[in-house]
Amino acid sequence: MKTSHLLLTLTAAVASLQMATAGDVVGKITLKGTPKPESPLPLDPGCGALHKGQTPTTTFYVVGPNKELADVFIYVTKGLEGKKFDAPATSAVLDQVGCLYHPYVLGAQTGQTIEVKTSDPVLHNVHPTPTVAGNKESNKAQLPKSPALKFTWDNPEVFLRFKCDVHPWMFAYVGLVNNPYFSVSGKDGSFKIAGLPDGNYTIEAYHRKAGKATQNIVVKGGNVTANFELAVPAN
Amino acid sequence: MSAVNQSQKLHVFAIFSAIATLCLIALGGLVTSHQAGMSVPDWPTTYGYNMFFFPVSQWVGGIFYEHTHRLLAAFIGLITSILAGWLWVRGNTGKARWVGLVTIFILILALGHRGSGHATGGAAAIPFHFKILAVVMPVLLVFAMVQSIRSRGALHWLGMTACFAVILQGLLGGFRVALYQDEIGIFHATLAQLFLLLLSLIALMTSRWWSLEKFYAPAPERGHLLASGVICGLILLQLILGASMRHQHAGLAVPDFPLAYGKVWPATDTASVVEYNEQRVDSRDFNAITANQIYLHMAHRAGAVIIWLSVLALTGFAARKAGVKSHFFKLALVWSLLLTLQAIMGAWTVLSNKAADIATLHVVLGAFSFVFGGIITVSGFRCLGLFERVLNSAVSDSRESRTHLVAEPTLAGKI
Repeated sequence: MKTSHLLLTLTAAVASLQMATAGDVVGKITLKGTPKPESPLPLDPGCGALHKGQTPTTTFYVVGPNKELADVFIYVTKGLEGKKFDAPATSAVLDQVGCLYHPYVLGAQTGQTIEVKTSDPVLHNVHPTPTVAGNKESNKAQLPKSPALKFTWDNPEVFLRFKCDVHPWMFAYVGLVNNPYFSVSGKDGSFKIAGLPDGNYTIEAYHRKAGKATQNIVVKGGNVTANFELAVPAN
Repeated sequence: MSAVNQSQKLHVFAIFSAIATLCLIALGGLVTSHQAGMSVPDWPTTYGYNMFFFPVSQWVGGIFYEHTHRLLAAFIGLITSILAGWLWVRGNTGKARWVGLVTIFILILALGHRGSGHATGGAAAIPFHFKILAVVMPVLLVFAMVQSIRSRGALHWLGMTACFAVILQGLLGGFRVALYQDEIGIFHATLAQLFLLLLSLIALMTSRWWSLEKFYAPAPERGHLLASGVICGLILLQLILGASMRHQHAGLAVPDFPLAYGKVWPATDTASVVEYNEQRVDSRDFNAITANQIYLHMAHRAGAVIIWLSVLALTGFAARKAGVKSHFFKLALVWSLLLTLQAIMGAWTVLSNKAADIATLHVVLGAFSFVFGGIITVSGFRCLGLFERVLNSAVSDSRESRTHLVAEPTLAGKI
């Protein structure tokens, strides 16, 4: 009995020690300045019918009432050198709904499967256009109700673009990195990079139009808060 | 059917082929302007179908432009083959005639394909015999071009050149899609312009005017014709610059006119280019622009000014030397008006934020201006040559001033 208690205590101590060697990086992204108004998408009749009279707009800047900025890709740029991470078994998923990609910005790890589904009753082509050497371009048809298309790439690229050439307003961007420590800010501007091991890091917040900002952080046995403010480029 | 009727039918068919080709260039322009070049992932099939059986109900979005472009291209290929065969039969007899016709027939058969059931791009999806053709056709084209030069522009060799060129053009378009190579699109666009010029010259050379060796007088100055040829060359360079800009799919590298990012010469340092890209918010979400693309754009603007001023100068010199009633002056004046309109279309393309229809009209007008200049130049040299021949033969007879010699409209056969 005493031995089992001792063993239990020892196990709990080891477990709590391990938990204390990593932390979450949380924060909020805000936008300074006023972006140009979004413009309505030039939908064709087939896609227009899917939106019941409400034409969607471009989503270059998704800004909340308190200047919260969505679709910012936050990831670790320094501090993980020399470390290798296995790609997750689960897929990162893009869906095509109403002739739009959801989500607009997605994070994924190199070697991880990116699944592109379609929930639309219209034909699309899925055309990823990587620019980093070694990441191959491809172009595949995707008919309604057809199985998800799967893609993997081995080289980091921020941002790897997906497009549909049948519907030239359809785009999605994937932040592809070689580790699992990344996040995409939500509509409330918040993000969370979970379980980053203790250490010194540089993290970058990258928005396609508002640009980049970096911060040096130290993770030491607990959560770290890192807020970013990005700015609309001056005209 | 008399030989004259046959010639007239051939001439009409050649004109029809040239006009249809201009329509194809317009359709190709719409494909690029609408960013639809990759909307059909596979080639030579269309979403796994034989392209002639692709359901009309699926001609949607970008597919409409790309697929109709492919269909019209196939039609142009067919009529060019017919034109080439027709010219070959007229220009050859016996064994040579059959060799040429069999060559054309084999090539048409070789371009056939059936549906694959796959709708994926990539080199592996291209049928093997198309890869063979991609190697063979440039060789055949060069051979036909050499023969055309050696025969001093014999129509049957020009027709064969056109046949090989149109097949190569189809292959370039298909490989551009299948191999994801935007750069091939630049060659595809350039060859389209040269092919149009070739068909137009064939139309000219099958005309009654040409066959009866008519000429207008006063004949243009040799120097003016050389200048005209140089301007055509400059227009071709301008077309190549334009194709290079369009086929990088980066949209407008410079979004304002007449200034460039608010300056006479835009900033092209790294920080400025990053800022330009961040400021671009277009639903078409073009590729990011680079400093080199800005240079290309500015070179295109400079080229437009040089060409426009050159053709205005040519028109002025023609007015002074040949007079405002001369045919050459009138042709040069029309050319000036075309190029003025083209310059306006260029500015409008920028000011309309590269609206697809405006940008496409700019492409078509550029092609037409190029062909118009080519026709003026070639017909002008022909007139000059005929005029000088007449002048030389008249030297031994009574002497008349050059400006009083008038072409005889009822003249038939050689002068």
